[in-house]
Amino acid sequence: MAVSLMDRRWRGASRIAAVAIVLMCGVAGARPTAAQNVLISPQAIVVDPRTRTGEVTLVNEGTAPAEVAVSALYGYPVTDSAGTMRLQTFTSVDDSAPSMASWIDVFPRRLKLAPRARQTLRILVSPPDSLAQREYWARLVVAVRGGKIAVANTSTTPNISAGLNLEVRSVLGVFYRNGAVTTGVTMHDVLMRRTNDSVIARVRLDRKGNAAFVGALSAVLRDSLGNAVSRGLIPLGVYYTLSPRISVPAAGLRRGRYTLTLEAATARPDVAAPLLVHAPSVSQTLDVVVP
Amino acid sequence: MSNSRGITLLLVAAVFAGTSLGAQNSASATVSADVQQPITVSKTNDLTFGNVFPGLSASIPVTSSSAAAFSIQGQAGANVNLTFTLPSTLSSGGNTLPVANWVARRNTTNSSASGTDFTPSSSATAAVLSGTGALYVFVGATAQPTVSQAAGTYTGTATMTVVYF
Repeated sequence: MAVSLMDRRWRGASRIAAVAIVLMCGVAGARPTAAQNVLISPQAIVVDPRTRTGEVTLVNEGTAPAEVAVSALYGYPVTDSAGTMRLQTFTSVDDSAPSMASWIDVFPRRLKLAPRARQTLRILVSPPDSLAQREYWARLVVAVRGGKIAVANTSTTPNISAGLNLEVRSVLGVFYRNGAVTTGVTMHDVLMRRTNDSVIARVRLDRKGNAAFVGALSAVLRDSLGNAVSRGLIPLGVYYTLSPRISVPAAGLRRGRYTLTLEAATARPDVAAPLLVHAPSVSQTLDVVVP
Repeated sequence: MSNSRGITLLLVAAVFAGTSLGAQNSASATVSADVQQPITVSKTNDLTFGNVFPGLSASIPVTSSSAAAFSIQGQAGANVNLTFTLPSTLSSGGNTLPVANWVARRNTTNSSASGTDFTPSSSATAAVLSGTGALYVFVGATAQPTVSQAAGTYTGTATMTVVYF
């Protein structure tokens, strides 16, 4: 008897992911146990429009208690003139912006997570009554702070000792889809240059539809026989317009003609497929000559 | 390109009804679930100046074992932004101790001996996680006690923010 739990999607999956990763790390012993080490899953939160709720799972993998505070803000990725992505945030949000930051309540907003403990944060969304059909966005800020550090003071005479506590904040995407949503991108203004050890491309992606294009931009360099000789991939989200830079390793290439194919697709290795708004992929292929 | 990693668990359940040896049933179920990539930002070391002396600056370079150290684990090749909120003074009661000359280094391997240096600030620093989804950040600074610095234990808080796209 085969029972699929796919339709339960990420609620259960996020829990399994958290536990699975913890178990895998424990078995492999690949990472040292850190004093302050909180795992967060998932990293993209899609609020269920029927229940208007979502979840984030925290697991304290460290050996010390962690203080966690959660808040929300409005922002989305943009690129600068060099193609570097950054988060554009807003201190005041225009009414026309598709911000859901002010609708979000998180329970609990503050907590103390014991070593090896896990906690599910419940996200409740209270949208206004008359809401246009589209996708709405926010960013969840999960701030994690450890206990006070022990500042060495080894002298028996009064002296001065100093140290800093460190806080780490993770900023995650939150999405709320009201009604039917669509997405897509157009790809244009492709630029390419070759350096000694890589091929670097920039491409402008303009979003279509009423939802963010969350996916990845891939680049595949192929030789004249069509064999892939090098690849690159960057996860991204196109909320309005994005002009990212992507590079593929190209050291030691033989002379000859190659092609570079850039493809934007609504698939990401780090986000479960059912959470994404899917769209046809778009691509462009350029000739590359290695003299 | 796979959207998620699938975990398939095969559950074999043997059901025994009471003590009847003849009433033994077995069933198997294939259970699948999407596993999403979690993220982990860890503080692996605090920044400690230890004992300092009036009028003598104490610098902690990024290569020092006393430097702050962070570890980020996420999706391979993912772009992230790093921003910092750093104090200009540490406090001990009503007294303050200046801290300046913040320096940082990032590396895709867990070593501060090499990597890319940058100045930690509120302006975003772009970085890319390694092929295994790792990034390590090391932060140092200089404590600058004045000649009349009051004795005490001075502390403050530094914040690193990691944005995922």
